[in-house]
Amino acid sequence: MTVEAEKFKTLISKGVYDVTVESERGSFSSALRWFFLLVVVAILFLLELCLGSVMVPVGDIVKSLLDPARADERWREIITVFRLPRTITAAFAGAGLGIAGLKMQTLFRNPLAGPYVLGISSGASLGVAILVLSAWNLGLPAVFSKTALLGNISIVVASIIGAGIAFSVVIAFSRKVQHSVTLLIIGLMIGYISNAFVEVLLQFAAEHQMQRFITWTFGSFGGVTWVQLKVFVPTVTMGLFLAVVMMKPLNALLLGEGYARSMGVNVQRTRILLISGSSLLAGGVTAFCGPVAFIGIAVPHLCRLIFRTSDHRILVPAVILMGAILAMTADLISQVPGSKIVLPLNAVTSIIGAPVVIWVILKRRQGLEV
Amino acid sequence: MSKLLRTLNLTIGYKKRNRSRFVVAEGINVNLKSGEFVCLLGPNGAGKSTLLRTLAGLQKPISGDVMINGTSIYNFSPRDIAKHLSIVLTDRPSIGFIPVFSVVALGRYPYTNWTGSLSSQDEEIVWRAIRAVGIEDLANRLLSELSDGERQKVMIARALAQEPKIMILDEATAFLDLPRRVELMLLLRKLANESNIAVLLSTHDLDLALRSADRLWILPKGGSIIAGIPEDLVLNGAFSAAFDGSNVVFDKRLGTFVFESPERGRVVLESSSSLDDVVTAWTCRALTRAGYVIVSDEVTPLKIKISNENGSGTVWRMIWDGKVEKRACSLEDLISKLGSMANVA
Repeated sequence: MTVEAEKFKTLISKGVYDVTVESERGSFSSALRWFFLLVVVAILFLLELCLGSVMVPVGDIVKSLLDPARADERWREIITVFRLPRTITAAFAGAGLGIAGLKMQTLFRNPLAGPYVLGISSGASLGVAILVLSAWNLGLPAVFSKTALLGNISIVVASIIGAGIAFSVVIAFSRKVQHSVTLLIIGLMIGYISNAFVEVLLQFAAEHQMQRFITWTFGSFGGVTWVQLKVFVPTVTMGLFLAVVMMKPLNALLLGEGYARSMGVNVQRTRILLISGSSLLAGGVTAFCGPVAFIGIAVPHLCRLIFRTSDHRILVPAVILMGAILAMTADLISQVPGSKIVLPLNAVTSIIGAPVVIWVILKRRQGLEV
Repeated sequence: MSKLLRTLNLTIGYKKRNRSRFVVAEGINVNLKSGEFVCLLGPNGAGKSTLLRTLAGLQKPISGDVMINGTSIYNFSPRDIAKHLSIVLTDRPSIGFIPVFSVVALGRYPYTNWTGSLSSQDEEIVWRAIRAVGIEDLANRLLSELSDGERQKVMIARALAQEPKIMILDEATAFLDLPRRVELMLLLRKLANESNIAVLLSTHDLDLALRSADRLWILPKGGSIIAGIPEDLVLNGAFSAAFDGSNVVFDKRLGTFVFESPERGRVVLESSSSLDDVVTAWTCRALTRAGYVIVSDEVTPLKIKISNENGSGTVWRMIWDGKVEKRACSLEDLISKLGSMANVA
């Protein structure tokens, strides 16, 4: 036996070289984690349909979905008109915001990045505000009824463009700042500036319109119609798909742009795809749900902790599931099941998400990096 | 040995926004051969990093060309360059949860499919790279838990897993303590010689480079690059021309840099024959450092005699004009007493 082989054997006996065993054990417990996430998604999906101001019996939910003709009309209406679109919206919005946050954290190599905290969502709001008000003043209000496909598409486009512009501004600043907290502060300021413009614009709006816009900024997964879903679901799906195909370059970017380029990553193209992917997600979600706070920044960190990995091949699917879980949970809480009270969604997501940000800042040096 | 990488009249620098050019260095004609370990030396600001970035295809030159095996790298796709050339940088990536094995496996990037999954052959190559660098026992650890030296070895293993023909390292030994730097230099030379790849390292460790590199590239500020084996460059003065400063000079005999302290006095040094040379040598260093010039003439009044006395060990006697003035029992004592004597004189 060669010296090399001898050394190898001692390493194995010491357990140092326990790679195969380790990975088998790893894959077993990771299978458990996936199973757990999927079960939680299913349970929350059912709870979202079941709970609200009134409780719908599970049997009637199943009947309304599978055999609508024989279901009780009252339950069927609640499920198909209100709760099912709301649940689908929450799941896709959570997944979309989480993925947008993940992409941004890796792109900036900054654990404090996210669509809301860096002002991307505010940019999207500004885009929507400009479009809605100018169309109103041009006498085209009918275009923006909730059931007009064209109107909904134009709102999504305006929102994505607003998100993209805000993102480009943040990118330009990120080249000049080294510290991740500095970028966070610049992002917050960009958010304030966009919101200020929105407020200025609102002064020119009609009273009821202003009221509707302000309610929209509280964030909500409710009130999204099936027609809107036809625009919303494909938009988000496209953004999620862009994340799935980018898992490999995202992993390379963990080492930084220099290394990524030296490994053959077309960094310029990757950056553009990541920026457009996250603008698509942040803009698409904001157009229908308003600027939803903190889900984007918190979800990737929760997934890194659960799976103890920075590998995007695991993080991307995990963030999609975890985003849906967090968004549906926040939505359930905001409806205060069994009561007539409805809390603003952003109040709930902020209470869940803001502590995560504080925790990331405090624990930064202990493995909570990107 | 074939010329693996060659530059043709390369001018490096930056194109500014107003289309003016900022030239860092020009007329660069150098080559790298397989199996050699080359150190790129040069004072701060001479453009070492710019040159390395240009050679690695990360930055375009102002004019001239970089050829790998006779083909210009600007005709290569990013992926093709990656299959020929890998890099190690100074910056320390901070990633939360990534095990060492996965970092090294990222080196297989240009060879894997869109998901980046490793074939059994890829896995074998990753393990080979890990073994070559000697970090088997770190494979399961997280990158964020490692020391700077260990982390740099991981990055070298990653660069090896890329199966390059050329490995370029930009100040990869910075931030490491001296033993770790020596270890890394020896490792790089071993990798170059044994795996038959060309290794190019930019470094500020002139001493180490002189001792370990197969060849040196010296990039003086504002001048053109000079290449050769270390000993030739020392003898023909290229080495000292690039690095000598106003009070730092390269001593060819010692093979190291010496610096001049303001002169405080002259001394004649005498040691008894029974004494170890080492004591004399370190006495010389201490005196030189304190600013005393050691002479051997008859006119200098100050003389220091070193002897070994029974019971009290080494003793330094300061003699002024033939009379015994003071004794010291350590070099620290000697220097402080010399100071007070010089003041009296």
